[in-house]
Amino acid sequence: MQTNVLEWLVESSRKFGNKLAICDDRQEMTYQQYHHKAIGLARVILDSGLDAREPVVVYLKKSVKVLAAFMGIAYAGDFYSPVDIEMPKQRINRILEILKPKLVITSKELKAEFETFNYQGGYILYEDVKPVVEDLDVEKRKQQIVDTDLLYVLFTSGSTGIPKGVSITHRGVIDCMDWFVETFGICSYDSLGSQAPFYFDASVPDIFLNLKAGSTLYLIPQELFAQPVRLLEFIKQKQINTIIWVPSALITVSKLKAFKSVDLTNILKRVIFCGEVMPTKQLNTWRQYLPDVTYANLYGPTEAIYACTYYIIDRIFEDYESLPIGFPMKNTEIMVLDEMDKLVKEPAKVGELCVRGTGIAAGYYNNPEKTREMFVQNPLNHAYEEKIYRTGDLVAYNGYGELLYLSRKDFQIKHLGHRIELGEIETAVSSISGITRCCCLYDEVHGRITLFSDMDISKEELSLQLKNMIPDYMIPGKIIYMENLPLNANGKIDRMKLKDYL
Amino acid sequence: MEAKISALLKEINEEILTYKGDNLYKDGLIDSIQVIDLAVELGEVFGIEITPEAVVLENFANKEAIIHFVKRLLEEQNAG
Repeated sequence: MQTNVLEWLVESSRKFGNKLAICDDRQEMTYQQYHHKAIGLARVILDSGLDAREPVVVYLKKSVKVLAAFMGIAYAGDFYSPVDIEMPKQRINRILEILKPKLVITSKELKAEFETFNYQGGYILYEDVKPVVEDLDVEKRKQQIVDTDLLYVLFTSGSTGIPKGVSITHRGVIDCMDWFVETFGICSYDSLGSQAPFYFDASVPDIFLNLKAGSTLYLIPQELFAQPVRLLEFIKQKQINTIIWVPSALITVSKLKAFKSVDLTNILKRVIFCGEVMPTKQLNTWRQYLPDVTYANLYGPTEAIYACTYYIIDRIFEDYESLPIGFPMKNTEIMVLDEMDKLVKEPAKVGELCVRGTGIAAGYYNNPEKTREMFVQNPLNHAYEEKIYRTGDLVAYNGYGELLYLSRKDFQIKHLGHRIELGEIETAVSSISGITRCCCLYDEVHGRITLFSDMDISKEELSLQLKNMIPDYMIPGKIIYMENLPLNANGKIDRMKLKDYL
Repeated sequence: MEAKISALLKEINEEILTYKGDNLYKDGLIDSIQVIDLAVELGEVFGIEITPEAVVLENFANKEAIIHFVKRLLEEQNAG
């Protein structure tokens, strides 16, 4: 009976001890080394006096070290929360305010930077931690984990400028990975190529699928994603056969048809994408050059671990057709609810996608109001307490009974794979002196965030002002100056009218 | 030609024009999709063939590198 994700690490270490488990451009670890480093880290966490079920922040560059730190934290019965080292100070401080962590794992190099944040807790420097083969206290902590305990908290953007900490349990990740392995048949002979940052939910299958399957995970150097031929050469050289990427990373390869230079036939077996809409035209280029690969379109918010629906591409799609998000994962129900909270069953009728099952988050960390708003009682169940997650995504069934994604219910958008609430950008922009009213819209055609502002501000000036408030990917790509922004009947900025200016 | 390139770079990010370093991508002034799109645009605007092999960060290190890269391709094309 499995109660925590570490049992995969223990099992893979026992079965494939000397096999390469995780590998970046500087360092690699076998399953045994991975396991022993995790125990060593857990030992140091215990020595610090930290109780179980406490948050531990990981502040490190993307590397195999981060993964060992994650497992060490889990071993100690605690949960991890990765903080991006490029994230603006203001946002990091907000995250720290919510988490109130007592411990951070970082490096000698990054410690000084972390000391400038609002944080008074302890430090573990990764370099100082020695691997440990066995430790009874650590083992005991592991055995005390119940599967509803948290494994990690990942932060997403919130409309009021307050990030939301999506809290995920061991149970949720076990459920999602069991489905993954069963559906795609991933085993120890496979090799995965990681693209997504570890603070982003798109990396969750890379980390845990690898652990469960006993495969090898290569962390692909980020700069290769701007160099398509070198990227494909890397895949070929490492014999990576499974990639789970965001669509924009797949697009960098297909746009220039880099396949002509590097043939990945008989190397690549599975291409799985999630996190934003994959343009069909780009997928068709992939299919044209690599027809024997299994392609799968997955859909799911961070609140549903990684994915809650999937579609394995099994027919021809014209460039103008959109890809279905398909069917619910096993052990998950997708409820499409209309405005009256009635279940939509017939094709072409629009409703909000809601998720029911064990694979939904335990809510937002330290934020009961937001949790109550999004994780609600199943409106079709009047007999006992049962929470569903309302995604705010509008969907409809097509003629095949497959789900199709249509749009966001509110103004949350996806840009470069990141989930952004336009309201958060507006909140930051409004804080600039001289700006009274502003509005952000997403320009789908140019793939950029457009800011309407009642003050004439240059792009450089705006970037400079926003730099410490929001991440770079949220900074508007275009500014339109308007002395008076159009208002609707309620006195709110008329977004529909502004759309005409895009 | 340089003015045309500057205009294209300005569209992506004005800071590129005054950038003094040697890795626009690593320093976060341009993202991976923008590098690829820029390569496609340069090909179209100057009527040159940019092979996927040529899309490496050395050729997109900064404004001067991009100009040099386009110049080289134009010369090769005229010679050929």
